[in-house]
Amino acid sequence: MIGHPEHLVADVLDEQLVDGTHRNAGRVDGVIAAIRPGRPPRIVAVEVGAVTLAARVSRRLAAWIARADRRLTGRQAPVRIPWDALRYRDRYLQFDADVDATPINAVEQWLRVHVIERGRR
Amino acid sequence: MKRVLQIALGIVTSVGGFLEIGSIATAAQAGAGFGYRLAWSIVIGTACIAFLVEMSGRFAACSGRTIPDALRERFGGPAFLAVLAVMLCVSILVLGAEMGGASAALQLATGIALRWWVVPIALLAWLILWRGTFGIIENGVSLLGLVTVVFVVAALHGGPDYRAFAHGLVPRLPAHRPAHYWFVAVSVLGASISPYLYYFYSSGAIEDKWDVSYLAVNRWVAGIGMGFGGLLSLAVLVCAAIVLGPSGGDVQGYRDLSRLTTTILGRPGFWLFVAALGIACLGATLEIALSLAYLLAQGFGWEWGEDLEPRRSARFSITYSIIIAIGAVIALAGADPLTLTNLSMALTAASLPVGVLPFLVLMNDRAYLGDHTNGLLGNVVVLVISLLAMVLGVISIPLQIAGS
Repeated sequence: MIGHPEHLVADVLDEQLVDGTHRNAGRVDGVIAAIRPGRPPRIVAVEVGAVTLAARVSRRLAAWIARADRRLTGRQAPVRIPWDALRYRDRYLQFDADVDATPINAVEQWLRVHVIERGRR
Repeated sequence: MKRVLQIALGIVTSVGGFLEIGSIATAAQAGAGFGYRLAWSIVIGTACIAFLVEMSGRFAACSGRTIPDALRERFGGPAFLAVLAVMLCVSILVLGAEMGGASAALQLATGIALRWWVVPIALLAWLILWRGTFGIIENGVSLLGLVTVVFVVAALHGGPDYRAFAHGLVPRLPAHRPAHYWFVAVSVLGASISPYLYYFYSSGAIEDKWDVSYLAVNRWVAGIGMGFGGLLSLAVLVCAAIVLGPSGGDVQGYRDLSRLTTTILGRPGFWLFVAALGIACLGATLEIALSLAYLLAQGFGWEWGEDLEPRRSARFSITYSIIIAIGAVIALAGADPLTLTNLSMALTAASLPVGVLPFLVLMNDRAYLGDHTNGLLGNVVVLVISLLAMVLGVISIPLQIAGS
């Protein structure tokens, strides 16, 4: 739970992310640390996306989802949000950008354009 | 006055939305095969779902969160994926059974084979979800579902044996066909304690923007609404005991189900049964499709909401569309609809702890509920009944399959 942010796995991993306009923007599926020889590790970003979540269960499943994701959205790697860009707001982790301007919503936008709006035309 | 109206509407919609193909078919089989002896299974199933619904409303009102949201946050992604996988597999089977039930109602009404109605039912359900609002689904369909009260009318007119019925409220060992007895008992439990029901209720509380001021409304709606809903299931059992019990037979198909009210109330009873079956199953189809879409969207952190335009919640809207399509494929796959219903209800019961146990952990977490965590009674009732359902399911499903 937010309120004890020193517990990285319990309090940051799997938390809801919201964008600058308070729209849901996925969850923290992974936390990225920079491992620096001779120096303390440093949290640099969080990762968002099904590939990262799947990798916590099975590498093979993650590879399969990554292939499908590349084919559908063209994304080559999971989306990362710099650690410094995150803020605690209410009960969520918020970043300032519009989620639609980031690759986080690539599948949402693909469905919107290719399925929902095509169906309306 | 506003609160009283909210309670009344909540109770009415809970009653109207309680029955579906699972509860109708399993209660009818209990009555047909064992008279009043399995009435106890409906009572404990109803008690369990009343507690679970009250808890899910309380959780949403106190924490401002839905159950999948908190499950993911509290137990992490892999644990959430495990719950999701079990819920999806079992609930989609139930969805196929509900779509089969709605199609069977149209078959009874028109004489045109069930398989021709599955796609129109799927399209109608999809259209209601795509174009409708949460209020239409929550209130509109559930209010229409009040036609299921026909079972109570038929049960009272049928002249039940009240003494035997009272005896049936106490659990007893079966006099004959023990494997089938326990299988039907498990199916009744699975039909009564449908996880989609309390997931739907929790998401509905967030859609309706509940806060702690709704706790009293929640308690009344869950207790009285589910209680009266359970009475409808008992009425189906009573009708089956009166109409089908004397012949000692099982329910072989939907036409046998229509005899429950037709034999007692005549032609109007037939048409009221058709309406009750069709509306109840259509309502359950909408609720299951929405519940599973809520589960995915909330667990993965997408935009969600039945009141949002589909283009503003594309993944959520496409998810329920795909789920309805899969349900239609299952309903069309050729499995006997009643067998599918029985199996899906028994599997629901056997898998209950997968969703219920983590939910109970959440309900005892002060970080979410503050001073409104569970009392001992709620914990014990839900824990014992869901573990009992699982044990009975694990034992009786293989026995039933081997026996048949």
